[in-house]
Amino acid sequence: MVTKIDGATTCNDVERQVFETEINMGTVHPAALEPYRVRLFIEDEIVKDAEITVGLNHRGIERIMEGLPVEKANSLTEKVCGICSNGHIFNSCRAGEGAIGIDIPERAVYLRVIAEELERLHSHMLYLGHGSEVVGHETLCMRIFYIRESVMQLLFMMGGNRVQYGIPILGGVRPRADLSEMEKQKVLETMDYIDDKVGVFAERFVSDPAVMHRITGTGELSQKQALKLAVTGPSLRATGYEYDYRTKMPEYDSIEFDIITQDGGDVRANILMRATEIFESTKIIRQAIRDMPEGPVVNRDWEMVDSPVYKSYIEVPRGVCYHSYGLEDGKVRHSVIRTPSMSNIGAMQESCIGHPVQDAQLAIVSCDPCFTCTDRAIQIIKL
Amino acid sequence: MYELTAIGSIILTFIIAGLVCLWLPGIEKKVEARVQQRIGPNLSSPGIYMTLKFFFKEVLSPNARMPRVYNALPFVILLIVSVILIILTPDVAIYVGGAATSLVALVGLLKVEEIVYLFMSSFSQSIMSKTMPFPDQSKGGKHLDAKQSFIEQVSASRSLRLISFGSLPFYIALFIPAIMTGSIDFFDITLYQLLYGPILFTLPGILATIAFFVGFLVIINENPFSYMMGHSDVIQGPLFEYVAKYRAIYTMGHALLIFVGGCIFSTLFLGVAPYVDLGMLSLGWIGVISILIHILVPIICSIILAAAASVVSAFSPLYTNREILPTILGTSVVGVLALVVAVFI
Repeated sequence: MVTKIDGATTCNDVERQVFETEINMGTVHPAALEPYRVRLFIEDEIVKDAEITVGLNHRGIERIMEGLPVEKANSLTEKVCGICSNGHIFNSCRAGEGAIGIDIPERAVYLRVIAEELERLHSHMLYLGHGSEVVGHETLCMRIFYIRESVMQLLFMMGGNRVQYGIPILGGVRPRADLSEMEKQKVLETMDYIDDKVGVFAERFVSDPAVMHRITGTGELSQKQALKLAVTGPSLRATGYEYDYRTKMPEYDSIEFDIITQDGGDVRANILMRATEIFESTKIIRQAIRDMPEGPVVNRDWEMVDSPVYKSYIEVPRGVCYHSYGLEDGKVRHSVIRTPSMSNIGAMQESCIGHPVQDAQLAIVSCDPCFTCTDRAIQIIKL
Repeated sequence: MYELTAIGSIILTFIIAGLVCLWLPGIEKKVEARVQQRIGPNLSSPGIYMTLKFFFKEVLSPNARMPRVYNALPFVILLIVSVILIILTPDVAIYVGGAATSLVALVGLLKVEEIVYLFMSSFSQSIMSKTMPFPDQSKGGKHLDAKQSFIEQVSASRSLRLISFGSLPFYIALFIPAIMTGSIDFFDITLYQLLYGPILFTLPGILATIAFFVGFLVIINENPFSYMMGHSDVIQGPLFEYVAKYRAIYTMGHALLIFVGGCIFSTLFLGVAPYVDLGMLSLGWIGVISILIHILVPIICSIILAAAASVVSAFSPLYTNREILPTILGTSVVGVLALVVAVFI
């Protein structure tokens, strides 16, 4: 079919004609771990435009939370995502604590940081595995999953589950998640193991000319475009923009770490960014273990009060996550959750454009999508 | 009597080929799993039990255009590959001879086998894309008047590329023995190597082996050249709609193709054609040893081919146009170099 672009004319005043062919992928697709629909408008196998549609797994968690006690609502927020479940309960606890005005024991703050960084480790490794798999390199995918398993064991040790560990609670962390001396030693040993193994993996990855050729220049997103699209988290840092919300979080005040950036904004930059961030996370965990004071892990001395809407932002593995609570009679009156993938959908669409169809899925995956968590009622405000 | 012995020999060859083919997918998967530090499936699972399982699955009608023709295409592949195995056997050369038992027939049949994938891709219309019931219009989608395509049509254009230039190194490699022996007839090529030794152990033979291997990976659509059925976008491409017995037939045809690849290599580069010559039994132990050589060498070649393909597959990403073109170009240059050396040897 011939589509004429309105008003677009060449220098000879001849109407420009664009031959558009649409390739639909999904809503169910084996390379996509979640249900979403991608429409690629192609010319000669080159993507000219892309459209990603979500909204297929809307669960209405915020609505269910309304009218529930804060503690129960918190446990529901953990169900928002299977990968960054700790990030959600951590943030909703922060929102709840801020609204009520609860002080957190110092040891609990460190334990929360450890849990969050462990989650970042496993999420970034999952990303590396998924990226390798979409590139078509199953062996690299398998190898990173072996390394990831050690982090999953640590999360299991802390929370008793491999997903949805339920570590933060209002006022601190669950006493079960406290780390004994032996457990702290195990965490440190695992960090050494991860540094060693991920180092070998990264060297293997960058020294493979076929892999590097495949990912270099693919799914490029400029820094200007990323800022325009309000991209967040590692996808933004992969364009060279130095922004990490952890630097603004009081939990990380006493911890030294570098903000990792990469130039290019392509798949290579995204992958290397996350691989390098793994080393920063192990560094943070080591510092947290070293500096963690003795003492209680939960403050139960607080009273419920009514509160206007209280907002909380944290840096989860995919970027900045937003939670807000408004409380009335000890129950949640208002709750809004915005996951970082919401901000990154624009980047996913944009990074497909100009690349062949076979790279489209890779470009989308390079932004680390988590669509099921993103499926919630939203209102887009045009600025 | 001699004709009956020849027919019996060909049938026996087919039985052995069938037995080997049942294990080849298992060997492939096992080697790949070991590279990936996994235990992997049982050797018999991918070849024997998976094929058997497919035969007992419910047959679903594909959404493809001309579904009967689409479903017949795996049988065409199996038939073509079987004919290639027959023309490689020496007895056929005696009865048929000429172009039918020469490189001309081999190249023609393999090209037809490649073209079958083009038809498969063109016909297939899986539910994964255009027919997925999803109301784009009601969601406020853009470019609503764009022409929609099935993802398999992308596979068709990729398949055309592979037919045009992808398998070129393989076909260049096939003609190295022809140049060295001065004949395109299989019988002459094997006879030459019986007298002067295997072509594999010469410089053109070594170079041709590289081109042969890379080209054969393209023909069997093995990773890194499997972008016609690339998992990340076109899913399984032309094969997506094959279910139950049709999938089983395709699996058998694919496994037989790998075995036939080993047989082509052993015939052209080692001078050992796959053949259970029952007439040789009259020569006593020497005859038995000769039969064993003609059975074992092609089997070993096909196992090595399958294992090497698995290793390459395990250590490679999926190549796209950007990687395939230079790889094919480089390997073709190696093949042409082998041709030049073969001419001046």
